[in-house]
Amino acid sequence: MRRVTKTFPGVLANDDVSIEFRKGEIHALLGENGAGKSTLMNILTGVYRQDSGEILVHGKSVTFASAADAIVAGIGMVHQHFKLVKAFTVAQNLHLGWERTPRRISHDQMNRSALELSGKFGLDMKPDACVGELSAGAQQRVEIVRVLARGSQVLIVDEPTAVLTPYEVDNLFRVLRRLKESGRTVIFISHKLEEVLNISDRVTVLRRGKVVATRDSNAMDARKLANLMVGRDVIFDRMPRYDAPAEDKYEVLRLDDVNAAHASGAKALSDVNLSVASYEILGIAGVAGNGQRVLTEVIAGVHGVTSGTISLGGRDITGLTAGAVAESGVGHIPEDRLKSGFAGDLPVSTNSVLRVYRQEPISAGIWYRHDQAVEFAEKIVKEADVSTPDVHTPLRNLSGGNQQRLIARRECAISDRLLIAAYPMRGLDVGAVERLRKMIMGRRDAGAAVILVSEELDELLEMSDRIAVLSQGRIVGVLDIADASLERIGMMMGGRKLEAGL
Amino acid sequence: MPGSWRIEKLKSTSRMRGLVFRMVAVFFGLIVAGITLGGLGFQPVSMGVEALAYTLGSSFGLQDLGALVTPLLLTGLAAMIAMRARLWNIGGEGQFYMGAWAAAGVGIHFSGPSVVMLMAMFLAGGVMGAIWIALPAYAKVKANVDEIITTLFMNFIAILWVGYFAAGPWRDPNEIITASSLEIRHALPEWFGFLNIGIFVALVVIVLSWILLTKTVWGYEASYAGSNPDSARYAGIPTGRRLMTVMLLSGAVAGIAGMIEISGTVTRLQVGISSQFGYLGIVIAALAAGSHIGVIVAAVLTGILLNAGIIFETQGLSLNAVVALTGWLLLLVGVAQVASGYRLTRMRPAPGGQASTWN
Repeated sequence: MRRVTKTFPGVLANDDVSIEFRKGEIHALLGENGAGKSTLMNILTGVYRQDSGEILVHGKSVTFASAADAIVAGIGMVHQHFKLVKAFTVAQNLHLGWERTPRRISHDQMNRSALELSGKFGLDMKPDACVGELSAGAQQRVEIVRVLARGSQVLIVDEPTAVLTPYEVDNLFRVLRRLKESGRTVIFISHKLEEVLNISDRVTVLRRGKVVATRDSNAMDARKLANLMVGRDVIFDRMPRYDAPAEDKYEVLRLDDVNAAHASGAKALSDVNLSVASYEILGIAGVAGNGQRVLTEVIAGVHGVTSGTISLGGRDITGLTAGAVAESGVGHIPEDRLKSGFAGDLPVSTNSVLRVYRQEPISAGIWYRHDQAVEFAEKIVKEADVSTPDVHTPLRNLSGGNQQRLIARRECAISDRLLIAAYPMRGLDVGAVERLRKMIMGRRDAGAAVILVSEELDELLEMSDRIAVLSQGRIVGVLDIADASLERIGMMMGGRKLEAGL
Repeated sequence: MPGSWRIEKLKSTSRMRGLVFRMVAVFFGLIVAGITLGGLGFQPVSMGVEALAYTLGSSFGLQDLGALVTPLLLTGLAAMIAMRARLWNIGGEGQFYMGAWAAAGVGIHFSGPSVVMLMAMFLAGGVMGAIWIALPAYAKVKANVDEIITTLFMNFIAILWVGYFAAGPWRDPNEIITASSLEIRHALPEWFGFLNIGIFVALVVIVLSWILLTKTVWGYEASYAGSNPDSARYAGIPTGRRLMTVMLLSGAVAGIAGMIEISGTVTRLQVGISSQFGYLGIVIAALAAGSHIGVIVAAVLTGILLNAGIIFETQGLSLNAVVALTGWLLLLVGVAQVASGYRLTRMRPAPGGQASTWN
């Protein structure tokens, strides 16, 4: 790929990216969420078209009008969320949408041809098994065979280990190495450092849409990679903040030995102890999916605890409803705004008053006052600089950034004591990030406690007063900002305990 | 592909656009129906004019129309209340029957001044309608059991239940041909000499529902909880309770429709009192798209169609053809309503060229 650039409205997803993938290598693509890995791969597989730059295959420039063109050119992708029909058998999935599948084919023929393919690529599977009943590892093998059967010379695997058990990971790595030996190119996308070091020959690190570096994996270690990934060369400025006198500071939120489980029963939080004070931003660092979501929801009263206590300003709030927690001055920007933060089909006005509709002047006794709601909505739409034709528009029609600004404003407005912000800047452009950061810092400087969950370590370092690192539902450590460094947090995020002298 | 057509969802659509689409649909539907009838040897134009003139131009016609529109207003409202909270009450038919049953029971077994009796019957009808949806509602809220299936199944039970009472314990021994109950002596008073006040009661219920759903905190919470239960939980709205109450309310309204039917138009409990009012209510709610005014308009339109159908029947058109005609028009209106939210766009390959648009 040469000088590939892709922008989405308000976002520069890939900025002048040039990478060379060689024949017979496993090339890892490393970067944080939102670094532009997916966009780049979507361009390479013909899903998106780059704004500028070109893709060259064997030195020849190619244009992909569709995903089908990329497949013809020998580029195939194994998605993180498998693109298989669960109700179909393995053989049916392999033959689905494949131009070499005859118009009429019997089950036996299909099973035979599936077995043949499985033998050819050395990946064992049962052709007549129903895909929905297979383990994640077995489904992944089906997906790999399907891509290989279509003649792929370049195989992109997107976060392939996320769904696998350690044993399955070993198997997968064996398969990938064999593909490499057969002269194919494997592009391995991940944000797990150890894995990348283990499997890849070379590694390219992406950050904020740009290539930071391409290196031989042998010459790297986890620490060097972490540095590249989070961006050592970026000058980070601590945001200016009000230094409140000690007597004004008090503990706002306290979690004692909090345990919580997912709906499935799996453990989500283990013995979490945390404390956040007024005039303080506590950053929560960690690779996505390590308990951040449940942690924020437990505090906000959306998710129950299995044991432990949560107190707000000295009062036990464990088990209070989300409404009661919000009314005691807790704002909560949830991580999936459209799913939990809003009712997308309802108008902007209805969504704007979600936190205040029980209060004057939006309601009076049992009466909901629509005109007051509209007025309130118009006010916060203006304050948050949300662009919408009017407040009667269904919320769904707002762009992601506008939704984000609206919810941030709505939640900041009620967070007199505590603001819980889960990935608040995700998907925003630079200008909007700047304004939102100021808004959050404004809450802190006004004396509220803030919990800021983010996957951007720079952001955490610039904004937080302390940083807690979550890994697999545990707090691995809490660092004062003076002791925090990218390297240290990066290593802890990988699950390594806080070690002396690191 | 050069010059290919694509259907594109509009970001926002005006009420006017929806209205125009629906009017075009009705017009188109009538033309097709007229050609079909003409082909069968009927005089569609004169038949249509006659049916309309009779329905809207005579007091008998208006009386018939009122008798049809009254239950439709309420069953339509019942389904619409549920739909506003993204719930399906397919059980309007059953709740209608059970409301009628409870009202008939009160009317047959107790006596007293008519005003008191009618109020007691009204209450009994509403409560019974709510009871009849309580189980599906509880299962939906507690275990997310699909209410479409459960409310539908309750219909069959209700119809057999009413059949048993009409043919068994409450049977009028003097009625020989059809199994029906003793006469209920407490009838709703008449209004303007030809409409009973049932239609007035129905309109009051619609206004009350409009106030409850759009003007109260409860209505705000109910519509929010229905629109996105996850987000409602995030905001601390007692989601299950709100959705449960919405369903009970929906059942009660359908039950009231049954009560009015039994104490107004029909005065005996029997199988067949509903003439599919419960199911037609779902169609009306779908056409109304969440609007209370829409329910009134759709119920009147459906009433006119049904009444015209009855007149066509007397002129020799078979019942099946009438049902097909009614279904055809309602189908087109429904399609037009959805279609008004989309437009057809032509993709042009020319560089920098604007996509041309057909509305």
